[in-house]
Amino acid sequence: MSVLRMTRAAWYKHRFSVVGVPAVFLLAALALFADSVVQRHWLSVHHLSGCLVANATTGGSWCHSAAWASLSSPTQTPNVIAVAVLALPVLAGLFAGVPWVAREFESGAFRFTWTQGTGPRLWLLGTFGPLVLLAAVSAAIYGAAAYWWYQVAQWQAGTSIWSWRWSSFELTPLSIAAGPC
Amino acid sequence: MNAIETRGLGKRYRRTWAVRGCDLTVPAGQVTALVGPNGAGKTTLLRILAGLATPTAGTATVLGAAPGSRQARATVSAMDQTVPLYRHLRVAGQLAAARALNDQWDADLAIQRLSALGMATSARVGKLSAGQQAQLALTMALARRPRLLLLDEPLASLDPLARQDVLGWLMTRVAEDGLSVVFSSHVIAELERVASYLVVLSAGRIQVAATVDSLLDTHLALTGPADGVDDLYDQVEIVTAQRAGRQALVLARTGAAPPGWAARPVTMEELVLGYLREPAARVVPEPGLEIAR
Repeated sequence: MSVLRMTRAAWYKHRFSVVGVPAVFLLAALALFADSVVQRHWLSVHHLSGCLVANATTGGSWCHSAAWASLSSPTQTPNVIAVAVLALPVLAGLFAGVPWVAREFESGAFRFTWTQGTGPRLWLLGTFGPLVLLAAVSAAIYGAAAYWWYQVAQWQAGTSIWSWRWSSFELTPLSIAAGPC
Repeated sequence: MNAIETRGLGKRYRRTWAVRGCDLTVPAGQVTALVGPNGAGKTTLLRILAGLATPTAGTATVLGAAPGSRQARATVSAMDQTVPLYRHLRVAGQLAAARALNDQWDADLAIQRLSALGMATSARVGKLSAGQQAQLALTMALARRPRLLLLDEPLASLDPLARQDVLGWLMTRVAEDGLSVVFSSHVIAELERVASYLVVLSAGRIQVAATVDSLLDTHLALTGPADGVDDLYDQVEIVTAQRAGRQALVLARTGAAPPGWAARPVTMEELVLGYLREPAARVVPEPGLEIAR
């Protein structure tokens, strides 16, 4: 009994999560990417691209006041998206991670797997390995897009909530893992 | 080779021993009925044998292998009394998952059985009745083509007709595949038709372990005067005695009726109930076959 076969069984058991979670994150990443392109275009048109650095205050008062001006631009979506950026990994944890774990323990269903050709150790690896992999892939896709988008949002928002250094790279797998707990 | 062998097997949950000092030998090829009152340790014993629980003391082997080992998993199939299934799946998905989890999988047997039961593979497992879920779990347990089948209360959620059907199908598989079966149940009357070996578990200890034929051959139900019971203890080995007015019904281990007592063969149900009423009475595993009181 190989991990591959166990993973195949996990696919039969959790295929909607396996397909659904990356799809949701991919769509969200595309949304972030599109918004970021629009924002960056606006900055480019107003010759503010040089202000996009990690520290919002770098570039002096010109960039600082320009940041406030950018908030009243026609595409001031970052504040709305900011909430979604934080909430999506948590929601994914709640609506994908929780059922994933619950289905294994609901009515002792894990005992079904344990009494087949596989043991508890392989079950653990084959069932939760894909979940970890799923979280990592989602984090990579979503985190990359969020980080790119984050550069604009951070600059616009100055030193508010965006001053903390956690990016979606860490947030996504953490939230998916924390969701079931 | 023996289907099951345990030596000094024990399982403790916190301070309570669910099974203790369990020495059991069940030969291969037998259909074994595991009976006992609630809390006797039947489920714990079956879970240890299925590799679902680790013993606190002693050793156990199933078909010569340690429970839960790779060798045991390849030859032993178990159905827990909780009927563990993935209830969010459809029947076809559940079968596909089971197929992926096993090296040996008889898809034809599973499909034929489910068709005979009229169970649609598109049905969601969670929407099936408790009886249908048990039938599905049993079908999957047998589709693995095991050499030893451990069933914990497989008949509990079935109606009488379904119980007969399941037992009939099970016996067909036993006859065709040479399967060894151990199943626990409270429906003793039904077990009598199929069981060839009887294990009675009481308060976590093995009380009776012997072939059904040898037990029925060596026990009689005696009817006679209630005031004669005390004298009877000197003549035969009495398992249990019940007095009802002037009459007494005695379960005794004897081949012939003593003078003044009417004898008739016992049923398996009477035998089991008799031993359960008298936890101190034991029939130790063959070839000893002796009663300790």
